[in-house]
Amino acid sequence: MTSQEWVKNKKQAFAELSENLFSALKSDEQVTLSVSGEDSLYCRFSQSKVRQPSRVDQVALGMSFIVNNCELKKSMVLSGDVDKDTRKLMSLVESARKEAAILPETPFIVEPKNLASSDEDVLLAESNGERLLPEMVKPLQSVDAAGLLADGIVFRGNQNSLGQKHWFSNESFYVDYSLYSSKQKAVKACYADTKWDQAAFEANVSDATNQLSHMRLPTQEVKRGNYKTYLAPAAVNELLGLLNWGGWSAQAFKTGRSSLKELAEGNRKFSQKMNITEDFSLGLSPKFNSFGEVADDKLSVIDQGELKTLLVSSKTAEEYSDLEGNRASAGEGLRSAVMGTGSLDRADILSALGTGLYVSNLHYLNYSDLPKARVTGMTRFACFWVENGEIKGPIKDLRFDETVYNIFGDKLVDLTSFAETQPVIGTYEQRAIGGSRVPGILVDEMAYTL
Amino acid sequence: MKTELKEMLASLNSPAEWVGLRHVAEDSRSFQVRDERVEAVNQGISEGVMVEVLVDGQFHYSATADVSKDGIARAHNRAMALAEFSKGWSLAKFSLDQRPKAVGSYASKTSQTLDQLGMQELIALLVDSTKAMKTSDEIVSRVAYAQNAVTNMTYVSSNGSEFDQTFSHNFSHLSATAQRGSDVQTRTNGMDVSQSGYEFFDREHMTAESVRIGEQVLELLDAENCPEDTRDLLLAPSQLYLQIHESIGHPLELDRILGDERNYAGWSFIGLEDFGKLQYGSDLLNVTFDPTVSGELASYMFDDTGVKAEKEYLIKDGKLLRGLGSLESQSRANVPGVACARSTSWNRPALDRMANINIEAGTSSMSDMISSVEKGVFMDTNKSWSIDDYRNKFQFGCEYAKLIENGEITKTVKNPNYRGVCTPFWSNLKMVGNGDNFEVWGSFFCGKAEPNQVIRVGHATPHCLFSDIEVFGGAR
Repeated sequence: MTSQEWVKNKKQAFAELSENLFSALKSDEQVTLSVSGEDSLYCRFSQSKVRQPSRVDQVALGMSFIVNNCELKKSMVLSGDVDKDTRKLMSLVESARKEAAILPETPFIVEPKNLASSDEDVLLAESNGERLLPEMVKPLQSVDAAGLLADGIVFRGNQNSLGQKHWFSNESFYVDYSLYSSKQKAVKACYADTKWDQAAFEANVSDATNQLSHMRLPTQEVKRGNYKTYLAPAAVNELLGLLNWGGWSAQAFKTGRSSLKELAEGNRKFSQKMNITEDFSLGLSPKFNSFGEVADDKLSVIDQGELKTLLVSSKTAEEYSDLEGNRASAGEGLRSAVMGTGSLDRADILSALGTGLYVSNLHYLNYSDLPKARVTGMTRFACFWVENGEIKGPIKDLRFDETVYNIFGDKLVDLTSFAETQPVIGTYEQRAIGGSRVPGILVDEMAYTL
Repeated sequence: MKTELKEMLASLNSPAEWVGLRHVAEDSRSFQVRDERVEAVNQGISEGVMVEVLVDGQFHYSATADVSKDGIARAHNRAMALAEFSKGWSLAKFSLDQRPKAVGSYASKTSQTLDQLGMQELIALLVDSTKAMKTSDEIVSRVAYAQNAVTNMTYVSSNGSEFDQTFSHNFSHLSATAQRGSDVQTRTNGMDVSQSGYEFFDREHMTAESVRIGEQVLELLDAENCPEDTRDLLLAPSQLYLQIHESIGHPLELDRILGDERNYAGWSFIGLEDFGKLQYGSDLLNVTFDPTVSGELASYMFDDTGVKAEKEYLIKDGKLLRGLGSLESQSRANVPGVACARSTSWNRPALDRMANINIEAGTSSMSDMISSVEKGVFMDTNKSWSIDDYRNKFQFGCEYAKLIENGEITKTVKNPNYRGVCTPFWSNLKMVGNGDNFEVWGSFFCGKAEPNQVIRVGHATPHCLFSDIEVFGGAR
């Protein structure tokens, strides 16, 4: 079966299931259905050999059922047999009706609307398929590599009882991997695209192998203290990802759980060089959310260091009369973040850093003081001590503990003139979609504590 | 389900050396109330089968939600196709030794269903809990959450395994956030979990917890920052459970030590040569893998490959004895392991996971520990966690702390944090609480593996006292 046929079948099954349900609704009932699915090939590998290859074919359906000012949310996994799935869905509807009859009202309901529909498929004429297994491992045989190959189709759909429909599907792959020296020093790499290109993957592996040569320099002992730091795009992306834990959320701000409280209150600012936009032109994420609302192509969040807006879902806007919704997702996080670039060219990074730390990746970030936006985390993979613009050698992992206001604000020296696209590589429950595009940043001083 | 699965297995006529079918069905309910108003009433149902085939010494997996005979046959064929393309590239060679025959049945002990408790009563309990937290206008948000998940797993295999296990897991969370000027403090009941029925959501207990949370969050607004220095640290089980999880559980996973997790969750500071030799902590440290504790979150009869679950010492008298490794990892590492091959659901392969990882009770009462401290701090309830990819350098934050001065608990301090390095930290363990201050905790959300999996784990521990720990407070 081709990708087009597979997606067509899923789309048709979703349409039939929706129609079966909508035609059985009573006049006072409203429903929004969301669907997410994948047909994925996963291959975990270690020591450049295959470990636990798997195929996953799954579709999850979510339902918002509204009656008498009461909203209940039900979800199920679809078997693909529309008759069987309809019976199961109708049993969930029956239980929702019974529960709505006895439960208190649910305030701030976002009722479905029929504003606009969309349909977008980005599929391959010929899928990559299982042949990727040997093609991926062959170029890795001269190095020690560990990572994950994920390949296949992912889709998202949304349909409501008023007739609005959205669909987004995408066929792509990534090899998210790391290479290890004999002394267990590592570099991180990722090869992501739609159609597999063996020569491009071999070039990607070759680049990463060359980077690994820097790791053979003597390991540098760096004591705890404050150091000038270059954060590469992947490291900046980790920081941006942490801010999605409530940082931009209007709901979190109103309930005291936002890490960007002081920014939102106007008491703190980022550097004037800092610009952050929700920009769906990246094409990695659908513009519609679980309410079925379509976001603007671009939404400025940080403009020259100042917060332009928090992300406000329609549910939050229902609750707080002083907020205007901007069709954010229910979780009010950035789905397609783009951070503006600066003037630091790639060739000038080491000389601009002078003496300090070159940090390629960060790991396991968390807030050590949430309302003050103080963050802790670890350096990871290829991180170096640099002296007078020259790499002296890799470091042992260091823990940092620093506020976002210092990193993106008072201590920010410059951003790089280039940016890198970072696809989301999460696979909890299903293969995630989305991504961001961020530059590297040079920070005058960061606190390293352990 | 067992009979149907056996018939499907027989009808496959598989050329594989071995075939296993693992059927998982889950019905999860969750309820959330904020500020006395219903915020969410959710139900999620999931059903599917993982088909596992052993070909040329490698296990290959294919997951499907189509649990019909045809659906499972298609999934089986996809697993066989993987075997064809990965031939010659396997990391390790396995056999039926890693899939022992298992026959039996297990079910969580429960005494109350949702129908018996009543959905209205559960919602009313959550509404009343948020009401009980409202001790001041400075409290800006109050949340009460309840979740129950009933999971049924049935497993059959071509070498005669047939077992089923039914789990009922619960999770309650109570949270109050207070704000004064630029200061914001949140106090919760942590992650209160159990393996039981809806009797877990006990009105008397949840009301008392809500009142305590509402009072203590205001205490925090009035409190000074935690001091920044090196002193004794008394940890409550509501924090210690995560310290065990991150700095004992994860580093002892054999698949991490073997390097399989290097690209995602990370490696381990432990080497295979350390088992049977390394002094992990002081001789007061006794840590067990124990999936037999009734009511603890990760108790079970068999792991997801059919290995019988039994209690084992991981660390005894401070010495490292055994790893958290399945039969697959044990055969690769040649060190002893435990029955810990577990998967998040039907859509992921089983791998090395924690179950219940517990610190065995010692002999000290709370008053023994407090009175022994000249300068120290007592920290309660985890708020923040971070550890390096070798599971060595860590930093934790807690919600609530009390200074200990000259053998007595004195004033409350806010934003308590501490940091350290794994074996020096556990070597500084100087007193272990007795059964009177022993508590059972756990987590619904342990993440690991590529593709990613989240799993439920249990951790039981008494209060423990550590010497010479770096502590500090919030941002200046």
